[in-house]
Amino acid sequence: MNGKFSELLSLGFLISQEMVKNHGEDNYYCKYSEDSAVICVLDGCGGLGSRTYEGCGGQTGAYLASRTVSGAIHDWYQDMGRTKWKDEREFMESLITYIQKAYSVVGDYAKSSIKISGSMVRDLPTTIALAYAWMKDNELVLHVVWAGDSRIYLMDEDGMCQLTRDDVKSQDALSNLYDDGALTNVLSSDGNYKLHHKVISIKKPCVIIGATDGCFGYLPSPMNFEYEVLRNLTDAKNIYGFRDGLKSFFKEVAGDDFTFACMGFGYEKFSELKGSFEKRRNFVEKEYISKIESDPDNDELIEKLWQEYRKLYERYLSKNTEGR
Amino acid sequence: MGSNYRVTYGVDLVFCIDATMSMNHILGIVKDNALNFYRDFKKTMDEKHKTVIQLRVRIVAFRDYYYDREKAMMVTDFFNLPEQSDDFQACVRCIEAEGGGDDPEDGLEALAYAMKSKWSTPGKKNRHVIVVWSDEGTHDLGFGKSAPNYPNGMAKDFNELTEWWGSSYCPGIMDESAKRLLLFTPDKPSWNKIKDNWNNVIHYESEAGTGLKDSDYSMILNAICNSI
Repeated sequence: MNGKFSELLSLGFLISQEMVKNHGEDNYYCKYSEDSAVICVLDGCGGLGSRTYEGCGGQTGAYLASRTVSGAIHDWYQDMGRTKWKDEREFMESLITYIQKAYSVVGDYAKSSIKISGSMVRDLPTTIALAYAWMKDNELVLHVVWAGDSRIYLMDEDGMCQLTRDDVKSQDALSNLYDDGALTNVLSSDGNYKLHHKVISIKKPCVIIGATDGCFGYLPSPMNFEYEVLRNLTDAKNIYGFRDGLKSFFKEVAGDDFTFACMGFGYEKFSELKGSFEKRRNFVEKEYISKIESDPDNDELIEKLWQEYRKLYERYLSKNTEGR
Repeated sequence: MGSNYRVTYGVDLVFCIDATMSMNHILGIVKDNALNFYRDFKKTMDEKHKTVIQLRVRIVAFRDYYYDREKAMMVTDFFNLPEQSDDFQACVRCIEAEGGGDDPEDGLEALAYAMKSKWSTPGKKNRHVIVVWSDEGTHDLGFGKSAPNYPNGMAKDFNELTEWWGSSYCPGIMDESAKRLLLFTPDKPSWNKIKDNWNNVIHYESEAGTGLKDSDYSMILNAICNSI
């Protein structure tokens, strides 16, 4: 897709809800300009970051971590958001510099009198899933950066696909829902993490989604997540109805804080966005959802449907991935 | 449609409690709160929006095989809570802080008993949490094997116990995804070896010999619930 960035960027919204008031461990940063846009979702890791810090109002490491890094992304985008990046290395080095600086600033305040250690304890641990879009050589380019199990998706008329590979000990997006595997890689102030990065060209209209696992981790299958996004989109009269419908749904099913951010490209108006996904909604409903709902406890059926669905869902997961 | 999707948790807790003379404080906390434990646990988990469909608790009260002989280890079955809350309370009220001999105790044998629990998996997600309270380090495994009641089939050394615990690359006898180990112990052998080397461990360091007097019920409850 080419043209002016500000004309290609069609829509964007954010939903975020904490389960326990004033103790939510999700955070986010979303912003756009004439030249670029960024969505970033973060999920402070409650188990790994359960240590509390008297110097920071008695909040948990997980709470502080997601806010520390969202603050870093804010500063990074304010300073660097209009950069014409030379290459991917320059992009990543600047991002990591801002993240590490934010951690060192907060680390000076984050002192705890409780001595907690062990393999399940990390200093200020959080996931990150970030998507940054800009025009490079008149082409719309998306940088995807992540660590942990928060995700960036791309959804176009062919369907939803996951752009990020979960840092979790399990086989795939379906087994991740049931195997309950531990996170293998998250950001933390000790610097022991790997920040994954990939770059893709956006060639046709699509919606880029960032979501923490509160959005998708409490559903029976990945197909259900796509369906719920499509259902709320195609049932809505306008973007606000889409946003509010999705929020109501997540509130009902999520067993955790949840954050969902999206930005769309290439749609002139909401009716065009909605219309482009009607066919896909009907397909997903007929081929997957109605079958799951007719026999919801049939794990073999869900597995069989997943094996079919994943052919398109995982189409970006083998593409270039660089680590820090 | 949404309410059908709720993820459920099955939670099994094994409390390994050092029942030697200095441990009155912790034993007091467990005794005083046994009857209300289910209510408090469920309330905390409800606040986290986690649906617990089954909670069971088991007690392993340990001392020192060499010095305490037949009083060295008291092991119960799992109590289903809340149905068996009265039985759970009656059981913990029988445990008295006594004996112990030298400073280290047989915490590793207690850990072995805990690992070999008959764990259940009733929920979509399950948690098998071992919680250890002790204010001293441990003997090596087998230190007390001259005692006539020293159990057959016990892990012969720390390496074998480590194999029982397992790792993400080489699972042990417990479910890798479900297992958690919470240590409320001093930074002494073998607890420090465990927290430095085993996965899925949280160590709340306490001062040796003080009976964990700085621990309180709400801190312990939060620690358990945060690990789930």
